[in-house]
Amino acid sequence: MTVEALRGHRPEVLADLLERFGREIQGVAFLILRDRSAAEDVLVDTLLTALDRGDTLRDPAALRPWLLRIAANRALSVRRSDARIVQLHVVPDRPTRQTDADERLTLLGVVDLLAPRMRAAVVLRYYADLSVRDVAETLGTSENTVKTQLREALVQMRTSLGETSMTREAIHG
Amino acid sequence: MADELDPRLEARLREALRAEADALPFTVSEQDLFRERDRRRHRRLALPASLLAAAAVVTLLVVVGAMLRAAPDEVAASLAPSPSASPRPLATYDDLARILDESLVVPWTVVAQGEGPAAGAGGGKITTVLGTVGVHHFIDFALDCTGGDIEIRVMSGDTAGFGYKSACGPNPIMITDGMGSADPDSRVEVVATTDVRWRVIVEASAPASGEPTVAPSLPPVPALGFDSTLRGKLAGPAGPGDVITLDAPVAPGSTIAIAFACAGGGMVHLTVDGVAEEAACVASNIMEFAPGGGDRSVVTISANQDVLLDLEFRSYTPAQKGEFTPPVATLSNGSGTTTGVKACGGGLTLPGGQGQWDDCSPRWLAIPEARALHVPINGTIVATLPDGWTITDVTATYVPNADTLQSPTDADGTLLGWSAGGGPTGFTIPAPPSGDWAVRAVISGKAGDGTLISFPYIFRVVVGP
Repeated sequence: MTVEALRGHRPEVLADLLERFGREIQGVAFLILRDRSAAEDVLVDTLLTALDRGDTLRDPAALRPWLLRIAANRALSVRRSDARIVQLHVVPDRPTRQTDADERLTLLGVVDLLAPRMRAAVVLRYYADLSVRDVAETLGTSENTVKTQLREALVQMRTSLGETSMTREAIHG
Repeated sequence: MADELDPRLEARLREALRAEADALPFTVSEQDLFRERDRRRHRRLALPASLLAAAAVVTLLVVVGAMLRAAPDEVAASLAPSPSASPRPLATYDDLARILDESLVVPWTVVAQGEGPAAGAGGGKITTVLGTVGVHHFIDFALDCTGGDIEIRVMSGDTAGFGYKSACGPNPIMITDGMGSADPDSRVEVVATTDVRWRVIVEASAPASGEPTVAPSLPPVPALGFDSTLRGKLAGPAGPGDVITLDAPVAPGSTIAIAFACAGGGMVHLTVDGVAEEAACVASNIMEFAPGGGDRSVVTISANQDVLLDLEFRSYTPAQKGEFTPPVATLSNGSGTTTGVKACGGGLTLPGGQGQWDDCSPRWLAIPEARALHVPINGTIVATLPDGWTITDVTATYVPNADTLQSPTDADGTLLGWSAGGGPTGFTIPAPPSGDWAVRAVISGKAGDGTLISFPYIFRVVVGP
């Protein structure tokens, strides 16, 4: 029903899309952009774009990856035009007391430092649970490139988690 | 795709990403979607702020690189009699200024304005020079028009820099030129046919008073009890319109302390989760905010001219971590009162004997003038702790407040006085000589439950007639 409504550009489908996919689209956008309001903009833009271009969706089963593809590309586009978002990487004062929360922050800190397209690959694979193939299609690249990006990201995370002493980190505007 | 060395890492990453995204409030509604759809259908271009910037970039890409000749039919801006076909009145200059002001954190000034078509203009396309805008990082336009297409462009000689071209919509719009220009003679032009009625104002910041010449150095805010820290220098914000967004993980329920040293003059504007504070760009400032909830905080920093920031950001969560909250120390002189900022180098012994020692450095903090205690020459000052505490010992030293950024050691301070057995009513000491001082009072005290402290508190004391 949703896909048929999309193909017919029927606006009532927006409510259905928002309910079924809204949180996930916002999550993908936020994890790429790390900006709440920009993520909301991307969510709105993604759903309105889907309504406009619904007739290009061939495979009804591909609705979700199709929406996530629009969202990821919108987020990457916004990011390219806004280079002044600075991520704060909080450094614990007591690095020896590594808790789950600390570990989570460390992992997210590494994700923040990844190049935008590599970050998008990580978000689509590990947050949205897209297959490597779908991630590659979404980002317009090869499966091998995605695998390399994911492997590199994991290596960086492991290195960061393994560090026994943490240094204060400068941020660069 | 499996991680070869740690198969659990992917699962931990999944968990971290999901927790991060799930913590985000979900506030977009069906009505928001329909509202935005209607806006687009009516070609209003009233996109959300972040997308508006993207739209501007797209627009300027169409124009950038094009070598445009200034039209020979340039005329001065003055309004012709209203065409009878006009469907609605244009927004006034005041209305347009309000549109711009709503988006600014510090006041800008109108640098050019105009309306058209010019009286007596012939048919066809007219280029109207609004005025010279000179060197700028950002300028904003507020535009209202009816009757067709309009183009606004920033010209440097015969070369177009920023450009915007669109059909007139039903409402005024705001446009930002983020390209900037180093040309002191750059000018704004409006291109439209004579059947288009338009009114435009252009705003920019006041001229900067010069580039920052010093790299500030900032001592940390107190370490004990703070569980996360970030420090770093920010080369910016680079003038008006440049908003730096810091996206910071914070513990729920925490207090955020932001300390910054600033060079360059002007005003700095900070918001934490939408709560705004404004401060002069001076050597040092300390601000505290209560985050808006959740485990992230969005901090924005902007300024009305180029500045250089040395920023420290700390998230403070005593309740969640079971940390001890230092008592508030007060300094007063009978006519005024100020509270101290707890600095590095203190110690704590809990009733069970468990102790903590906060052996961090440097030992001094720069305190903003707003927290200064003003004391007459030859006056006295009294250090106190809250009810429930008894002061057992106080040692006070002082250094010029300006020297605190040089990170003096404990030994660098001049001894102001010390005493044992001050008691619950506080400890009175003579004020320093005339001047602007940072006073470091190491206060030892005992709580009713047996907790012992010996904490240094920094106060700013201004002594004068």
